[in-house]
Amino acid sequence: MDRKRRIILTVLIAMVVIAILLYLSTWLILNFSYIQENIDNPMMQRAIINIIKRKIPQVIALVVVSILTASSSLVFQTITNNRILTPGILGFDAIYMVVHTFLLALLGTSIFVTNPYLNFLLVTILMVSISVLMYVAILRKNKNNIIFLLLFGMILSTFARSITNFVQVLMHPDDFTALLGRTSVSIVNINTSLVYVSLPLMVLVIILFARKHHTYDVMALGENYSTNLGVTYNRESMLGLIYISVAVAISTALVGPLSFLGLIAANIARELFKSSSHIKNMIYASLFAILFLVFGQVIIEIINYKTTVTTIVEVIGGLYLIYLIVKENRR
Amino acid sequence: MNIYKSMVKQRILLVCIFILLLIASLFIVSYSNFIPELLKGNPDALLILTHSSIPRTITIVLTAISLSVSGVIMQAIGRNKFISASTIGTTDAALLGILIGVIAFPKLNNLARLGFGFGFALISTFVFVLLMQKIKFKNIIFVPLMGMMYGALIGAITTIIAQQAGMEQILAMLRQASFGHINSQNFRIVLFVIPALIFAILYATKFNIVMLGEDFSKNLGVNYRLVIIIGLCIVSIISASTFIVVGPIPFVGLIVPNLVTLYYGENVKKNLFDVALFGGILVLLVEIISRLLVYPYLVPISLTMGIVGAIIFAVLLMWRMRRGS
Repeated sequence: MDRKRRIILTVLIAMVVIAILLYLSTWLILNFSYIQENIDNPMMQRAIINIIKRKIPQVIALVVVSILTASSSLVFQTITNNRILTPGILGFDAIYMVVHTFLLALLGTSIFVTNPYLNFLLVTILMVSISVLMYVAILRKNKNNIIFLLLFGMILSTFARSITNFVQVLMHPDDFTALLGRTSVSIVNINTSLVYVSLPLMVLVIILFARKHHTYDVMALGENYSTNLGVTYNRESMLGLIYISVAVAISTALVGPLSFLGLIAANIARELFKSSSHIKNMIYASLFAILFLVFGQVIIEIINYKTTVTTIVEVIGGLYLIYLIVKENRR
Repeated sequence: MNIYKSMVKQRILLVCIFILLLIASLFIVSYSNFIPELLKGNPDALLILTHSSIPRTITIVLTAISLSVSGVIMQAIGRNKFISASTIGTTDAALLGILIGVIAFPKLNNLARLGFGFGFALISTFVFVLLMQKIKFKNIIFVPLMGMMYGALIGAITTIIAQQAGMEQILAMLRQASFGHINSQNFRIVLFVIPALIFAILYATKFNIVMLGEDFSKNLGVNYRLVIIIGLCIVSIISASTFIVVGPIPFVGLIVPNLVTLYYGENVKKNLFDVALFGGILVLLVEIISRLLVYPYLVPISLTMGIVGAIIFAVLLMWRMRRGS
């Protein structure tokens, strides 16, 4: 790594740390003078501690989501051999919502729905099977046709959204209320009950990705080369896809769909560091994703929740995707 | 001769199906013993017929026909079978216009809202068509892809504006399409599609020529630019007026022309009737399904059509990819 990139990396890490600190203390900074006046009041002291206590799981959730989204997008791009598609764009998080809704509509209030851990497990298993099925049926055959896949992903997302709403309209009001608590998660309304469960899962997924990072480096060369170099291409693709599905399931369960975050983080990391090593790219992309989410959330809090990070990510990601498509067309 | 006869037979069959669905749509209402009460001359039942059933059915038919025809025109102008008002951002721009109209002038009536929606839809579609002519894409799927991204972008901007004005709930209402609330008072805006449809019929031959490209149409003495602008105006007024009365119904403008082309080949003028007929049948059918599914309640047609349409479109897309066209 040359000097320039080392500087960028240092700045990036510093900014991430600052963003996290800012996120934890936005409220304190915004109301600084008021707090200073009342600092001796025990009520105020308790309030400060409570707010920081509430913010810590949120920040962990944001970090977990960022790392998972960034790494899964990178691996997905290697498996599908392109730089435009990410699981979010292909509608994986929409599939998560469909599975969740259907489960609730069909099973009602059985143990698989009421117990959040069991429910999460079941939804993840179903989602893994659906995405593997999708890979076999569509992704593998049309691998060279990114544009077709993009369009397909968009239709899939529309379809998933319609069918989710549809089932929600049809279902019993009690079930609907239960579902709303589970699926209306967003960055502002993080599902903090799952945060500590998701931590070990995230570590597991990251270890699985990291263990295979040399394999992915080889797979980036293409199917023929990697077969020659002794990588069982189909098996590794399938395994990678299973890990990705788990990653998407965790992050969607925590903060809901974030279609373009992975795309932005993965591509900016590649552009800035120009590295082709997966493990390095994963670290860079994760840092960018954390910066984007946490810093974005700080800004949203400063402007008093006038809009949401999801919407901002959508605008920037949409513009970026248009740029990438035009570039792809030129080639 | 035989082929011609079978085509005529098919058409007669389709017309019969259409009329049957029309009658079904008129008499499927959430009122117990509707038809017997009607025959007895119950004034309540009569009121429902004249103030709800008839305006609703008129709206369904007009919306269906105009959306399908606007799809045909869009695909002829863009020379691409994968575009329609909903895949190149026209619908999203109409929504943005209507929302801005509502925010800036809260006391506006529907007619003025129509103006806002129409203006935004026209400008946005025009910009998009210009951009697409500049960039010249190699692969035909690029255009709808860019269009959907463009639409999503407009949608995100609309969301931000709604968030600023605290109008997220109104936005969520506007984004849902349903025929449930239509009565004899609020359906009139949809009548604006009738002049648009007349223009579509008058210019059908010219759209056919425009489909061959700019040079070709100039050689044949057609004013290329003018025809395109008229086409865009027709599409925009249809998008805006159906949006105000019903809401955005996805996929109709996209799949109906494609399905008709599969059967009858590509000819705007000859297909116009079939497209209208087919669109009418599809929307009436889906509307009746969404009416009966949780009877006496009503599922918004945007959801039912989103599911049915997505499946049909995905199949069409894969079929066309396999044929390599």
